[in-house]
Amino acid sequence: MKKLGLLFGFFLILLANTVHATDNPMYTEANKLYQAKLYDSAANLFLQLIEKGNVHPTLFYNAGNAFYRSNKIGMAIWCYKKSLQLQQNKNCAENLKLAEMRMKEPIAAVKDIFFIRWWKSVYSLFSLNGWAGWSLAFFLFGMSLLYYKKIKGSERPSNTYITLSMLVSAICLFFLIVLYIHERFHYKGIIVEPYTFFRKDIRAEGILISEGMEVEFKGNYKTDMLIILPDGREGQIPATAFRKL
Amino acid sequence: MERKCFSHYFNAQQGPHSFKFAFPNLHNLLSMKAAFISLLFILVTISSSAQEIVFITQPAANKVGIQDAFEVKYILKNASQVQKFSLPESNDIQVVNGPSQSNNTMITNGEVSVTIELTYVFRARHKGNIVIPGGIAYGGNKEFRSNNVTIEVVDGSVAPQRNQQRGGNPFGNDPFGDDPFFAAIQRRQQQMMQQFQQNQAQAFGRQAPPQQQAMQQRPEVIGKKDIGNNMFIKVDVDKKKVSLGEQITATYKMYTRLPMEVNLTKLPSLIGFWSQDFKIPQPPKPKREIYNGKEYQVFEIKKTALFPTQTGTLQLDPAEAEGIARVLKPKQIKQQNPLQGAFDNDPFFKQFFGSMMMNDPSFDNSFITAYDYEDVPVKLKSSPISIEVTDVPNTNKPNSYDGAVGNYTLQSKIDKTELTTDDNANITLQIMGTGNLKIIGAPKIKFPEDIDAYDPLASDTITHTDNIIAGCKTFTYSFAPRIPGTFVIPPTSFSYYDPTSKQYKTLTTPTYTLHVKLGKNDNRVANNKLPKDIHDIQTSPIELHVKHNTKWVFSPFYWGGFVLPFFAYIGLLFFKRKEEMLQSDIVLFKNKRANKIALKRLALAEKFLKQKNQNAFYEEASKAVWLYLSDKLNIPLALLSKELAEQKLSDKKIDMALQQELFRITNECEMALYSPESGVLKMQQTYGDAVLLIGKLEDGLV
Repeated sequence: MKKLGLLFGFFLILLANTVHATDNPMYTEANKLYQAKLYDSAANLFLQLIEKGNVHPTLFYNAGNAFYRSNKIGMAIWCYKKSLQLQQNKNCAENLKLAEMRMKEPIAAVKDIFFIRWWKSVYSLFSLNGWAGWSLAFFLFGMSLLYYKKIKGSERPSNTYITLSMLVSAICLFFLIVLYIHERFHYKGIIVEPYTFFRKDIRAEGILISEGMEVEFKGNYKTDMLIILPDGREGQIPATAFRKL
Repeated sequence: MERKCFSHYFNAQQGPHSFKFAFPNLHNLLSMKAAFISLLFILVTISSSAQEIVFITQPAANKVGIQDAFEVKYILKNASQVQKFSLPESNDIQVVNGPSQSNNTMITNGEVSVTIELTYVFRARHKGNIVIPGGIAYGGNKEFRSNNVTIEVVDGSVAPQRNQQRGGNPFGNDPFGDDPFFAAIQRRQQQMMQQFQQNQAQAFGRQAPPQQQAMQQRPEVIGKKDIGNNMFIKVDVDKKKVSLGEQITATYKMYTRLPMEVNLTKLPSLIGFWSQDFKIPQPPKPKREIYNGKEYQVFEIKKTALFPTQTGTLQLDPAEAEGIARVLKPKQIKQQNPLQGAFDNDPFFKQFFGSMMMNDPSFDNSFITAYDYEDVPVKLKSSPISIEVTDVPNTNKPNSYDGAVGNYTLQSKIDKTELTTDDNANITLQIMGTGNLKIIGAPKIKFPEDIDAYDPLASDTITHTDNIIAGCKTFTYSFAPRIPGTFVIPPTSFSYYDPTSKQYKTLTTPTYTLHVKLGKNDNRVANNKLPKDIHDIQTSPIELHVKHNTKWVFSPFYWGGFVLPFFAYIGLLFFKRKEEMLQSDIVLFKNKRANKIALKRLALAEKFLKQKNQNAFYEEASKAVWLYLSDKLNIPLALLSKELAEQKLSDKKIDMALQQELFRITNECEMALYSPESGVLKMQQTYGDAVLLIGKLEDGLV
């Protein structure tokens, strides 16, 4: 029992995110530039912070505003969406809608069939680490029940509980894999280049797609990227026009 | 010999200029003699069963005009034996042309029949009834004569009658009839006829009718050296000095006085112009044109409206063509034409021509010159033309000017002014007129901010009548209001430069007022609640973290979290099993050794029995039983009591009689320990009972 406890504690420490607090003069500077209406420079600084790996809903929100003001609608939408992924915020959601209204030719998304929607909502219930955590937790719980039952010879936890917790752990693991595959191979992104030509294949004539459109990644093809438009059309765009969400 | 008929085809199948037409040549006239050489009778000597020869004279019409040339056919059927043919002299008619011969061989049921047709073109010498003499054919020492035919000759011409017969107008004004081949023959006939008349007129000192004068030239001999003067491509432009965007009409023409077959090899590329081709009639019809005092056949190769897109001196590229031209070469017949010599001695030839030409003084040797033709490769190239293009004036240039030059009108239309936020509406601008329509860009409409406008769609219809490019350009602007309200679309201006009045003109559309109501579309309703502008940034300081986005899935520690407890569990389970196994081994051992110990003790007790040591005997016997029970029931000796033993034995399903026997023996042993001597017999019985009991228990307690 002692061993198990130690093990569990060890994992808890390990799984906790490594956190470094940083000084942020750059962020303050960017905000100042924004207030001085130097939106381009502000957007540039915000973007540098983001590229460095800083993650904060407010950082993304402010960056989105800076991009919006410098007429980079694609990047603005990307920033707002990143911010909303981290934290729901009414202002941010409204700004996102305003930005989306400035898209030249939005393409209405085709709704998935209901069971696909359900399926998606189920596996998106937790993050990758969420599913991983739950899976491990249920596994460890089941193991400890097993320990009591088999090693200690206790009669109290019935086999049903043990089976159930192991099953739940396995299901969580399964969703973890499904979500991983989805995130790894079917992730979404935003078109951030203002003039992006979407072609059905290399020979087809391109159509212009608006920046800010959310598209799904499908694969890479040389310097191009295969994507799926919201209405289900598949084709290729230059890889530089795509920014992963 | 078949008559040579000169039909000239001019093919230009390059680019858009593909045309094909017959080209009758004025100077294609062969001399009289040369023409008559072609009067060759092919002698037919096909042996066949003798059949009666049918020989008839068949005029094309029974009534002709004095000006008309008319055809007469001499038809010989079953003419396999015919060797010669002659035509008797007649004062009524003169031979204009012919004879042309056609042979027709038919094989019916193995019999060969040959039909020969000789066609002459005659002209009547006087009015009234004339007799066309029948022909004479010689064959197989026989002479055949065809019937004489009388026809009526009237004043003037009855050509239409002939039209019906021939399906064309051989002497009409349009030399380019349906059948170019036929037309060429007719033209030649006409020319020859005129030549004939001219010669006669000279001979008799009469003047030729004035309407024929133009055609009465001696054939001009055009040699190789003269090709350049008789065949060339020329570019005509209507203006050489224009302002930017103003229309110039350029016409590429081919002038020729020779029969030819020419292909266009290079069309002008027209750099610096936006061009629009006019349609050229298909097939192109040549026109007559006097140029430098000579008459030419002129073909339009290309006609283009040009709109300069650059200023400065621009050059119109030359057009180039390559092909073959047919030139005439005069030849002395006696030297050059072996056939001529042969015919000189031909009685038929002499007889025939003698009758026709003997009294014609113009028919002399100096005139009898054969014209042979020669095909010469030619390369034609037009000379480039420079055009000076000046810029449109900068003064008073309106802001909305976008390069349109010409003369235009503007119409504007809106399809609805009452709409909802769900609707789309269209404004259509139509620019009509003449000028560089195609390069007109869409005028900018200033839509209010809350109206989403899409890029305008442009379409143009160009009609080119005569020499001016005219048409209509339509721009359709789609727009959708985002929010309800009343919106005003301000007037839109379109400016153009009018080169004739040399000033700018601006046209404007009316102002449109839109009334927009709220639509049903949810998105837009939701959007209506949105603020006008984005929310401002949050400036409160935040603690920024660089998050290393660790995925537990990739961490070996995470999977260790599964693997380690699992192995720990397996290890613990294994350890526990082993201990349990060890313990169960001890019990078995004890069980097994119990009997042995008991028997040992009993053996010791027997020893004491022999020594008659009563106390020691009973003690050993009691110990043997109890130790046996302790081992067998796996109860430590210290804990073993009568009750516990009883319970355990009951558990092990030892029957009551045996238990009672066990407790009787143990009681007896205990009693004997504290009682006086009971004798050897008693001890022996107890010993025997104890041995028996352990044996029975051993059976029961496995």
